[in-house]
Amino acid sequence: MLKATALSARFTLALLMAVLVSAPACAESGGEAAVKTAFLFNFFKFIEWPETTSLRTFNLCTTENDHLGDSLVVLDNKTLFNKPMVVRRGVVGEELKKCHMVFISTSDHTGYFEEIINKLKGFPIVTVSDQPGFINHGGMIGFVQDDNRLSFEINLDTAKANAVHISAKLLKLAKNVNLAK
Amino acid sequence: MPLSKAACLFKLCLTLTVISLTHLSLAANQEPEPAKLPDLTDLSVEALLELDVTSVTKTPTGLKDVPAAIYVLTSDDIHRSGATTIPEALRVVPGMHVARIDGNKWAVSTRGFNSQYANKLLVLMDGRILYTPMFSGVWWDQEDVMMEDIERIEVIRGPGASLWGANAVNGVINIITKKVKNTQGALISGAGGSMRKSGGLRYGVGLGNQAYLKVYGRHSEYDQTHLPGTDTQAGDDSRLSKIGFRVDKDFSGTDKLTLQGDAFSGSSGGAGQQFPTVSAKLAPVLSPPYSRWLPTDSEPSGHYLMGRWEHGYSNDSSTVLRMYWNRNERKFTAIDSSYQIDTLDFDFQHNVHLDEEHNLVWGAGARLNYNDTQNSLDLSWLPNQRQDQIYSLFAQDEITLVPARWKLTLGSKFEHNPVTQFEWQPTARLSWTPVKQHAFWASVSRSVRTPNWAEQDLNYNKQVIPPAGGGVAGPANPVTLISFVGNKAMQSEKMLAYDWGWRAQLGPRLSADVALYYYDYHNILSGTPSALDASRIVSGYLLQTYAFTNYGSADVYGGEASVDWRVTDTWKLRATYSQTEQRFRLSKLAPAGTGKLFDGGFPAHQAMLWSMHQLTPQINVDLWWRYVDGFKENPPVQAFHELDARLARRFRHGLELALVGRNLLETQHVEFGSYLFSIPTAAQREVYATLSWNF
Repeated sequence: MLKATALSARFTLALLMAVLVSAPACAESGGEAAVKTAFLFNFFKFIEWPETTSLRTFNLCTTENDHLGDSLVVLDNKTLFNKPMVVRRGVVGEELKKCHMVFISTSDHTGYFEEIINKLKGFPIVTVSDQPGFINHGGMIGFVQDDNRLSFEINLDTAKANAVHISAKLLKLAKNVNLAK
Repeated sequence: MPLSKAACLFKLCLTLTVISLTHLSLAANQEPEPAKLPDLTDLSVEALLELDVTSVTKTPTGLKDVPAAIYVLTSDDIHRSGATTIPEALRVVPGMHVARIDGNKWAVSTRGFNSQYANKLLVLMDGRILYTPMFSGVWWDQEDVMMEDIERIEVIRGPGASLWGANAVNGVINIITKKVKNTQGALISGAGGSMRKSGGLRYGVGLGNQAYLKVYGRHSEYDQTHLPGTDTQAGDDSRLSKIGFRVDKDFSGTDKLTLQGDAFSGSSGGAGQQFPTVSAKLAPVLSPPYSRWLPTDSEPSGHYLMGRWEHGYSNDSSTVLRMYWNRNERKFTAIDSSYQIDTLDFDFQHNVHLDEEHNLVWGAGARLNYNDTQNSLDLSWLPNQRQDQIYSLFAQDEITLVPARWKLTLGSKFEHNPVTQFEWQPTARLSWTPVKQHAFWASVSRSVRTPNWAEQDLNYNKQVIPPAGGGVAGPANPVTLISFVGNKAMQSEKMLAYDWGWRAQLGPRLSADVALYYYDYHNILSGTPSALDASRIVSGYLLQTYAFTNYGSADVYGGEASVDWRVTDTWKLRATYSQTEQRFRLSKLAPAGTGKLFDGGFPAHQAMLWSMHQLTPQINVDLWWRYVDGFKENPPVQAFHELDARLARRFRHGLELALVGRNLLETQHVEFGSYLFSIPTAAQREVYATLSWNF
């Protein structure tokens, strides 16, 4: 037992030394947001809007309190098919109609996302949310977390109704595809 | 839940999780970013779907307070290690001693007591026990899996008997394979080089209705190594083929069903060894040659089928029912002996979150081990057929004493086996998280290792001493046969364990884990000679048998420290050091001549440094240095340093090629000694390439 105590002292010393060489701090928030951001960015590659060829920018918008923290910063200066990605956060009202994709965060107020969906009905705008059951309430793409992984489900009917074309590859990767018609 | 590494460290890992990069992703964004949020946008959708979010959601301050010395090898760690076998991947776990005995045999243990027949470690794959009741250890040669199919390996150093039962004495290794949903599409993997070749194919497909199927097949070959210090081939080449499947089905979120199985067949060579020539059981021949030189080859084969049903009653209550049938055969070709073991296992477990303070898990299990051996004069088991039934019951309560600060875990397993009857294995664990960045824990546990079949039933001729002059034996000049025989009165080995640990997040880029232990063993294995049997002196021989007994005791103490340091966003260092002191004694009651068995086999010091460097998003370089102290063995094992390296390049469409170098510092070294039926050969310098193509 005595030896074990001596050992303990040795380890503590080693650890102290490790602390001394510790690197400067980096700011970090939950990586789940980073994963969602990456998904959002990737979705753009597999979606065609009616006027895709004539687009000058790809506009990604989020609604108020999007919970994505600083993770969206990585999309600054990104381009897709030689067109810059524009991120606008906390977009409300009519401004939402200028977006190509809108990320609507989970909200305690259930009517919240339905209101936005209704507003965007008929417009070629992809709605994405992590609200459970999102695609069953008129949303287009819903994030699903099961076990330790994030996946997504797609309501193809809504996409078609809003004249948004989602590529077969993305549909294949989706966990569920809702197609009634 | 395993503890997760600091989230801040994860970017590097994540980039490596990537199986494929779409050609659309932006390689332009490559200037070293300031230390900030990870940019995962280079990952393809497929890769994002594969990502374990828990390793991500944990902020640096969300330190896990698991009150045990747990270490988790992620699929990225395994991938980056370049390992094509599980023991190779386990080498990087702090405190784990992994020694390559020959081309296909491994000694794997933690905190002392290592050998090919290491019997104090419980190894599970998806909940199925991999150790054989024959010697309570694992035939690692037959656990050849597609490394890409492993989700993670959780290693708990120290006892886990209160949950897992007898044999989880020094540690538990839990190998978890990937869910089918996460392995959709095709994967081709292969390795080829100076001493190994392997190839595998996996295909996963959705069956609709939340059902998924994967099938896989794999073949691997390992070349002969050299006899130590020579260029002579040892005859230890091996090969193994395996096919398997897994089906996962999800019923409306509340029920999950899994059915999986595999079948394998192989052959594992071994260097030659002297076997006494006998004319009948325990009777040597009376004229030369008294012994003959035979290879220690064996041919493993087997299969298993397992079903698992998980049912969720609510967020706070779920049950798991698991059952499997496992068959394992092994033929020792040169000496014409073989065995076949069938295991039937039922396990039930109920997790229930009683209230804010209590998290209860309890379960019950029944296991049937059936053994049928073909005996030869060289190696036999008595009886040659045997059936053991083991029943168990366990309960564990995780009690929150002060929310987010103090947690107490109390639990015990009760087991009934036909040899030593009732065994109880309790544990008490306390964890304290004074601030989010630091967690301290301590535990006291009692564990047992129940007697295995070899200890009770074995008959193995170890050695023969020819008559003086080597001629024909006679009453005046007899030949002596030395044999090991089983002991029906074997008792359980018992251990009382004291564990302490400290886990810390020392800033966003540095984390540390320290564990200390003191283990007190009683009734451990020894060998006791019976009186010299001279009853056949008239025929011209003497018989000296050694029986397995329980006269040993030991104190083993030491500790492990590991540090993970993300030096830059693209460079990570992982350093570990471990120390183990073993003190063996024999009981005063031990008859004269009693000797300790399995009392060496473990280095006092081990150290390693792993540098994981991402040169570009496509190119990774890993350098891995290790030091293993010399230790007492037969013959003694010398201390050595070695260096492994891996250079990997990712290409489009999910293709990755890598070049791996093993044991680069020396042409050969020896990692272990000789035991019954295992002859050490040299671990040699080796280079091979690996391919992984996911599409």
